[in-house]
Amino acid sequence: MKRLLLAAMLLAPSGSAWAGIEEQLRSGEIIAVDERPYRMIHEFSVSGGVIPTDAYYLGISLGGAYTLHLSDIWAWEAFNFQYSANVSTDLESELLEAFEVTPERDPRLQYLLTSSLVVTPLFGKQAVLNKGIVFQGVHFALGGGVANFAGDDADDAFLPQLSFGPGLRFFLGQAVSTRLDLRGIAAFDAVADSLEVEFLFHSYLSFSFNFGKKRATELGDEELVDESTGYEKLDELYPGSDPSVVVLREGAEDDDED
Amino acid sequence: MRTEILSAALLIGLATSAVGAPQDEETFDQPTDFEEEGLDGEEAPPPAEDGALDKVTGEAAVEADAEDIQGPNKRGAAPPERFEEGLRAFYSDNYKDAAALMYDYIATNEATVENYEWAEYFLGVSLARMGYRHAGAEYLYNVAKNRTRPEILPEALIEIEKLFREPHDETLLVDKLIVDSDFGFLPDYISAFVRYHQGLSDLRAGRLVWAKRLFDQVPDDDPYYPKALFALAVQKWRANKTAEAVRMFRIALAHPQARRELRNECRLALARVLYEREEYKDALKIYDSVEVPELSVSEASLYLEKAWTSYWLRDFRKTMGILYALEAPSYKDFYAPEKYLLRSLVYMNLCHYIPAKREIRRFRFRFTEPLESIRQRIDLREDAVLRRAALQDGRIGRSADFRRMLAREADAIDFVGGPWIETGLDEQLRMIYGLAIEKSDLRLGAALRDQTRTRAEELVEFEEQMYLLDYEVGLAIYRRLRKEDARRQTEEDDLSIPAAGDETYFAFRDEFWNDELDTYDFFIDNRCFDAGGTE
Repeated sequence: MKRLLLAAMLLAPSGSAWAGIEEQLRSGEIIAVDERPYRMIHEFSVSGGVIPTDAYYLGISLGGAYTLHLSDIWAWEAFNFQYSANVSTDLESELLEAFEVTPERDPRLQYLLTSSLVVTPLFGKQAVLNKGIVFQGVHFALGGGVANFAGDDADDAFLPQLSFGPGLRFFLGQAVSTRLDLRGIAAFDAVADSLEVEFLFHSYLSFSFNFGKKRATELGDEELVDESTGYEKLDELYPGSDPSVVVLREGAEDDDED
Repeated sequence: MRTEILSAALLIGLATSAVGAPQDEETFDQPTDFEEEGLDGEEAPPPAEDGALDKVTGEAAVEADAEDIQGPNKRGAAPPERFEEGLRAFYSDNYKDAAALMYDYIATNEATVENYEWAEYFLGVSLARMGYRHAGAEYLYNVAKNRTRPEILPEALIEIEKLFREPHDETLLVDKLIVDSDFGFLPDYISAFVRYHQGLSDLRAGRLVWAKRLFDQVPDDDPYYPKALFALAVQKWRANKTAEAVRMFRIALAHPQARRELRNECRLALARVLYEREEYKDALKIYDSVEVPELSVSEASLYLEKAWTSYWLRDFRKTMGILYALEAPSYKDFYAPEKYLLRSLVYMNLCHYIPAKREIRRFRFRFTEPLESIRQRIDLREDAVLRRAALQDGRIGRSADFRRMLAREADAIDFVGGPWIETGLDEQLRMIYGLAIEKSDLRLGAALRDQTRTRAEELVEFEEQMYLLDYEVGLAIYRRLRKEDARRQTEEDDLSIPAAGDETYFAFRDEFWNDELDTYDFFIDNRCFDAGGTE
């Protein structure tokens, strides 16, 4: 019995032996290395969206932003200004008609000014009806700024706010892209001894226009590019073969025979 | 030492087979789609004997004309008004009625009747515009060949020139009409077309002086001029006058009238010149500037040439990436036994011996059937792999395209009916296409016999090289290594992927994206202990 066990131990391949075989069989991995089709640099965008605040009014937002892209992953949305045009829902008038009561009006959001850090960890492409390809990126923004609220009786109030949310960008070309952003906003209001937090949700669609060729982080980072075309070698090997220096009519002067 | 000599011999052989001899126009061909019915596998035309071919090819067009003149349905002679009616229909773009009326006119009248030749001309043009290109070509051929009304000749040749843009009956239109006819004076706008094809035919037959004389009649500013230059350049290259050939290729490439296809042929030729001079880096740059139809056989062939060029540059990752692209479903019928050889060589250079041997086994597995067919001495035309390989390029590839076109056009006759049946044109077209298909099959069968044999010889040669390589790999496994020869790590050994940058990295997951095929990179480590590798 002991002999059998010993034989089995000797015959059984050890873990490291298996690893060696697997290593031997592993023969590389194929990766498609594409040039990045679009490079964002200075991005200006205009946007429109909605801020569903409460049951009495809906904010229709209009705004614009400038984003400085530091790399393909990191960007700084230097400012993002969103004006909220508040539209009353019918609830207030219905309450007045039905019960003759008017709800107490809270201050309403007037505009948001935010500065954010944007990270784009996901980049990819999708086949559109098997006929074309569209490139897209998914980003996340984290930032802060001020939110301006105004009520009927109260003065304007500037409240500090934090915002966070994801976004999806579809590239329409190097210069133009469209993006959909969802942002959760927390505005902080110090009332007496307590801190009240107003939560808002903002979704908006933007058209972005991209300008520039070189990123701020790439300044002075000149890369040597081989601009030769291969024809230089032909000039070297066969002097006089460059058509710009020879007479166009060919063949007639040849004296080859059959 | 013996191993090194064997390797060198093997690789020299490979280089020759990869680039081959300078090629003539036939090798710069349009893609062939092997998927279509009729020429694929078992459904292909039956092999034929040369004797039978000769009998049919010489008489086919004449038979069709004779049938035209006699009239298949023995109706009364159509009055001259029928021709005028047909003319009105033609100029109203009603080609269906125009064809029927014109056919009625020529089928029921003698060839001496007034406007007979014009009726043939309008019949040919109407058929061609309706998509019955071969039938149109047959009638236009009659007009141009008989030349009983010389004023129609240039018009007929213009229409024939248009038919040259698609697959066409080269024997009928080139050999029998253009080459075999003395057209006399032709206006400039059509004479270049005729002189170019006549010159090309002389060039192919080795009559260089005659070819040059004809090419000299092509005006400098005509699109056929750079084509003629290209043809002469190929001839120079074949005659080992590479410097002159390069000069002419470059002139043709820079010519303002050179079309895109021709420019690409010139670039390909120049890249091959540099490859032969072992200037691989520059050759690759010119290869990269060649534009070929996407997912075509031409593209697959270009990939293979680029793979060889990358191999000699010792860019094994790129070489393997290109070879991997050839596995895409679009290229599954592309015949290239050397891709297994090249992959095995790359693995061996990187000291991945098991994968190297695996590629050799894959070659044997893939080509078991054709190799067995060769050993069994069966008719090679019956082997599907060799047939497909033979049909891949050259004149035979164009013939196969033409055969497919004939089948499509013959099928389309069913959808017309009406006046075509009443006048007998329907029946006449079926006869023309039946005969043309028969002839085409005979020609293909005869050409296939030679071409499959050539392919079989190549395959046997590759098999021998594979055996040699297998032996080489076996030796390399047990090669003695010396500590002092240990290899230093280089930049090429760095396989890390940056998180950001100007490039995106999509790992391959069994899904070929057409836009990625030329961007594949093979991430593989170099396992060689020493720097030697395999040359």
